[in-house]
Amino acid sequence: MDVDTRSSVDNELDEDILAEFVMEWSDHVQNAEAALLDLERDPLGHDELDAVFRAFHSIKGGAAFLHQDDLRSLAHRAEGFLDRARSQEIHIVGPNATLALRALDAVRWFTDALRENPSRHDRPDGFEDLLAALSPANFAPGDREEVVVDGEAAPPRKARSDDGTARSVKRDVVGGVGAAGGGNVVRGDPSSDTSTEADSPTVSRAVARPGKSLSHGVAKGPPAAKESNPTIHVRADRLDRLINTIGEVVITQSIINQHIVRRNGVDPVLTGHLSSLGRLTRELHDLSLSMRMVPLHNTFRKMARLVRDLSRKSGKRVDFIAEGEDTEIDRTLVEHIDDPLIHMIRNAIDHGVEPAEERRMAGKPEEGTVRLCAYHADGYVVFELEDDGRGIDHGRVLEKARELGLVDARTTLSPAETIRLLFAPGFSTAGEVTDVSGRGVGMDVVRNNVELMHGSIDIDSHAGRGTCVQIRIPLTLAMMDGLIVKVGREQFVIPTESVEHVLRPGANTVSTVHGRDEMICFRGSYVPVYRLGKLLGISTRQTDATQGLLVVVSPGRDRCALLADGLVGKRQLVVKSPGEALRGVDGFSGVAILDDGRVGIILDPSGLLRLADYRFNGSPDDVAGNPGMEMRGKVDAR
Amino acid sequence: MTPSSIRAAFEGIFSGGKILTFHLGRERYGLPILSVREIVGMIPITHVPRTPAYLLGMVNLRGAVVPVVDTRRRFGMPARDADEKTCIVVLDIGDSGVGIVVDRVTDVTDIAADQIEAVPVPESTDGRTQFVVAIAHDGDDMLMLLDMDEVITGARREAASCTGENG
Repeated sequence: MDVDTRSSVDNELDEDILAEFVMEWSDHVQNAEAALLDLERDPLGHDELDAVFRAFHSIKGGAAFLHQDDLRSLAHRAEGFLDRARSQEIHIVGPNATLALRALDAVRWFTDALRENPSRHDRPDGFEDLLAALSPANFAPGDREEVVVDGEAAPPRKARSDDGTARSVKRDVVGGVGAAGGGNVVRGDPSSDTSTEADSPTVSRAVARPGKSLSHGVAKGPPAAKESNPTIHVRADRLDRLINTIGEVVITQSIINQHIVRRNGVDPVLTGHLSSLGRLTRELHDLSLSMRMVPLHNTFRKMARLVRDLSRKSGKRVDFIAEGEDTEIDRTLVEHIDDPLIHMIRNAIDHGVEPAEERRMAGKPEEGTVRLCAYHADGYVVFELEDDGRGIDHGRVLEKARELGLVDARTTLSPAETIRLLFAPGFSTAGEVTDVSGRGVGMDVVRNNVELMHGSIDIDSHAGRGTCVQIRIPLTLAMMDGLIVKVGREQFVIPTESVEHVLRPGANTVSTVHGRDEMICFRGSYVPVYRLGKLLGISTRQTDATQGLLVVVSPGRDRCALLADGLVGKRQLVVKSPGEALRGVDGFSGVAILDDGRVGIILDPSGLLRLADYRFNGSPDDVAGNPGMEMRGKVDAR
Repeated sequence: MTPSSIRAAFEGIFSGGKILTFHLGRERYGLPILSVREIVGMIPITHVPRTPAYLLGMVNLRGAVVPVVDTRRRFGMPARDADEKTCIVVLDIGDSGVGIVVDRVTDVTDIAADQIEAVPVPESTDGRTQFVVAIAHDGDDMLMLLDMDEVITGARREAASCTGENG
């Protein structure tokens, strides 16, 4: 078309160039998706429409340059389709928005496929249908309906004379980054296309927020520049190497410090230099850690899209409010947060938000609201997902739990205890299994995912008023605060986040049960004491608990006191990936490098509790002889 | 290098090549030099509780956490205290590598194909010979060529079969 293919590269194409284009296309897809979701809320938004158009245009140019013919014709058709929207022939809401999103999904399919294998030439499923749907042949000129808002017909704009496909827009192949402005409210409105999804490409109804002017001239203003600082793409492996190396510098620095203090005593000049070096390395380290942090934009976009699709599928109108998409989180964690969020959003829309009629009867607005927000608090990223749906029916949860034999018929539970039942494996209250959720797997998986990130999850729900789920995960897994304790000749790290209290037991603090199991009274309740030496099979000479140190930990809802021989100190530690070395060994969550450069094993309090359960209640396999020298968990914390 | 490529290196061993040799007591063993990432002196090893005794633990090798196997224990030989000649040979397995502790690293020697013969010792129950794939005549010396795949990943398979998990 408008890109001169004669000057393009031969079939013998450079994979680096392709990789660069693919990366760019992914950016375009993301930006265009955000713009499309905005556009659906405000179908007359010029900037958004232009952004989507530009994205497809740039993709088309790049695809032609690289001889990706399928992708080129897809982008070309999509461009033509959007051009009809630019000329007011159609509006991008309802089925048209779905179609545009499908086109974006197809582009995403191509980018993913090309990233995997640059020379592949297959097509996504339903590609021909998609091309046909986008094709101008599907749109007879007279087939146009007017946009009706609040009962009034919007003045149709004069259609452009061209047909949108022959129009040549001269732009740089790589130009035109579709900037999607800060709009973060997406409205999914299933009523506009529940029945006409496939066959009626034109708009029958558009929804606009009351009070919003519809005239095109109204300045929406250019999308606010989110980042005043330019960014560059850096290869992830290089960044990882840099960050690792800086981590090493920090460790080496502390080893040198220790050594010099031990050898030379106090040398004021050297101490001065060392402390300024220490300050610099600390700064360098903080800087390197900040390079791992990425904003949550992509996650939020995915969720906005999910809400849209789910609201359509379920026929429930849902207003999605997103706050805090600029909140930053460690790059290695961002991909792990998606699954729990997706699950919670599915739950909110499937189980939470009621059908419109039920809502009306309950005196609620017909349109449900799902709010996702993220913010930083005390070294954690907190996600809150709130809906104004029917809330969790405690009675029904209890009933189901009894059915499943999780609790016996006479037990009475507090509301908080009842909600915890939701996290039991296989628990689901969904009346029937739907495509959306309710297969009985879920909340336990969500909790496991969150715990793998060393995070926690809480649910607060009021029947009739809605549910709020709070997920807290640490900002980064690269560093952690840990308590270093001694057990025999070994040292172990206990994550500070799970430590409630540290105490040296007095003579009468520890009581025994059957002369064997030990307990202490802590804050008014009895807590089991587990000797780390015994649990881990390490011989310590210590037999008297009063000579040791009790660390009260509370992983999840359980609480126990771990008896160690002594405390070495509290440190901020660089966490390392143990690779294969710890897989399958219960009780450890990973490794960190200690001050002296040795590897320190990080204890996993909930794993230790499981160990203790086996040990005291008996277990089919021999705990002490667990030979699996392999790493458990999926989150790779380097 | 993946375990299977390590295996390939060993299967290619019958055609000879450069062999790193080391001693355990008076016995001399060999590994294809291509499967060796580096050799370091003894450094502090962190023991991992509740793992088999031949897994000595983990070391911090310039930031990489590397598991270390006690070769003597693995082969059922008597334990011996580390001295200044004791080394950790880091094999090119997985991302971080796997270390094996040896009494001393001896040399690197060229072995030709006609110096090598398949192992004549039958599979025995003492746990040692199953790791030797071939024997090379290096002068008057007997050099036992090891199947490190068996030493390392065989160990992992055993572990997996004990716990009923797959590695």
